[in-house]
Amino acid sequence: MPSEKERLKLKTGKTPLKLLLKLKLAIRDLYGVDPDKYVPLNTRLTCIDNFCVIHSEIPDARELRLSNLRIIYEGFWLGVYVKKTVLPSTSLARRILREHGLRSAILVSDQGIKAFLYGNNILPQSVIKIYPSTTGTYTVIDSSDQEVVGFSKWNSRRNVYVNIYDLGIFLRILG
Amino acid sequence: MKIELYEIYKDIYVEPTREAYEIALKYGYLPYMVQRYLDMLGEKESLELIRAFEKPVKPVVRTNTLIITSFELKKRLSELGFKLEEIPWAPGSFWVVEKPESPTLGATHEYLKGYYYVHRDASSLLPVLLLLHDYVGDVLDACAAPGGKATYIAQILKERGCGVVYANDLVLYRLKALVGHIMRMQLNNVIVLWSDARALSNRFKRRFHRILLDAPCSGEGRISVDPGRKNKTSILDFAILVKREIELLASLVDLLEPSGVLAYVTCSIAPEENEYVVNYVIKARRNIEVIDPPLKLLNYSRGIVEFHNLKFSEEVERCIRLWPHRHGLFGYTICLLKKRD
Repeated sequence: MPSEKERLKLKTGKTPLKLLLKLKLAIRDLYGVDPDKYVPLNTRLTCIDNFCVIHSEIPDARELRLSNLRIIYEGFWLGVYVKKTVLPSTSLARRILREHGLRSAILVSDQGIKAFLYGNNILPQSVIKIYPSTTGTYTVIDSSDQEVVGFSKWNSRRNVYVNIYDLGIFLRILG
Repeated sequence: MKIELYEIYKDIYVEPTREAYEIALKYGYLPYMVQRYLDMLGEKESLELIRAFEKPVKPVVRTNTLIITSFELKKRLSELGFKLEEIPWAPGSFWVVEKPESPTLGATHEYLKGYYYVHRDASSLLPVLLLLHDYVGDVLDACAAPGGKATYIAQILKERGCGVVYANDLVLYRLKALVGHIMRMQLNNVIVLWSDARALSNRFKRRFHRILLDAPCSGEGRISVDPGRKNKTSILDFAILVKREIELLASLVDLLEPSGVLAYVTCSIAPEENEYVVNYVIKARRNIEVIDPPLKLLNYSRGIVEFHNLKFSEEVERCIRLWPHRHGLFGYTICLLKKRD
């Protein structure tokens, strides 16, 4: 039987510049805000199996790294790197949209949200309101309480909003 | 500190009586376990304890007050069919007294949005409330995964405006769940470490005013949710656990600042894993004392000073015990240790 370490692939480190710039670009394209206001200079990347999260650095943690302590997560969840796409975290999107109002977003009915949180795509008939997006990527908003629950990308050929990631990852990936 | 497994084994060994065998046979326990209940509680109360282990416990929903009020959460979960009852000594937390067939507590939209944490039982709230009483600052949670206490501490510190939780654990797949809870609950004041807690005192350059050690234990207090524990741990396995618990506690007291407080916690009713361990360490480290809990949140039972052939320091009476048959909670023991100035 493989050991636990072999079963779970863990990678931690400073966020590669390329991913960090992609995150900042995604924030700018989606919300038209200055990404530097939301993404600090020092960030870290944690990958558990194929799911990677970008998070902020807590200054106190630097000393621990010098003592060779293995830090696997710290600070505020800023973004994800899934399916070769970098996107803001739902927490960061929530913060930005609360400050600037809804944009690049779809307001989705309860039924659509239920399916989406199981990892499914969103059908156009579940979308109550569209806030235009220049990139085709939409922040998915639960219409019942205006909460951010994930991200999707419009696919005109299939006529659906394809699920990129949703809060169900906490059950499906992070347990 | 050199700890001999054989010495521990000799200390904790019990020879079951015929009565212990008969009760063990009837309820499916290992006889030595029952003998210890008889030694601690007598026959009548031992049977009450064993029967209490057969009853289900009520799970607990703890509101993430950083993103929703407990009033609003209760309303939303009630609409889904959950019946919640406020826990009088833990503001923002509720016993779940009725639940619908679907959804489960861990699969509601509210859960995924980070509005609450689900505890198996209310007992795990208690050490956090006692340790953080009148405190603001950093906290080390030495065996933190899957994160019920670490996220609770982070939430309280955030509400008080200051403090970082250093949440450590040795088991990676459990840490993965902890990271998930931190992200889900939108907490930003936690540093997650992957290390053997026994090695931390050599690695950390700093010291802490508050440390939580929820030691990996036999889980003898959680038989109601894990009946396999009735017959899982042999006396030798038990001695190995006790040895590790002593090593953990002895190494972590080195990380305390003078006048700092460490909460030694187990979900076990075994004196061998609690008073014995604490007694061992306070005798070896003369700069540590057991202190009374700063709050009387429940009608706690006190620590056990004499057990079987063992006699502990009077100080361990200041430990607090939760018994399933007396308190309707998991069996749980909490000892608060303070480092002398």
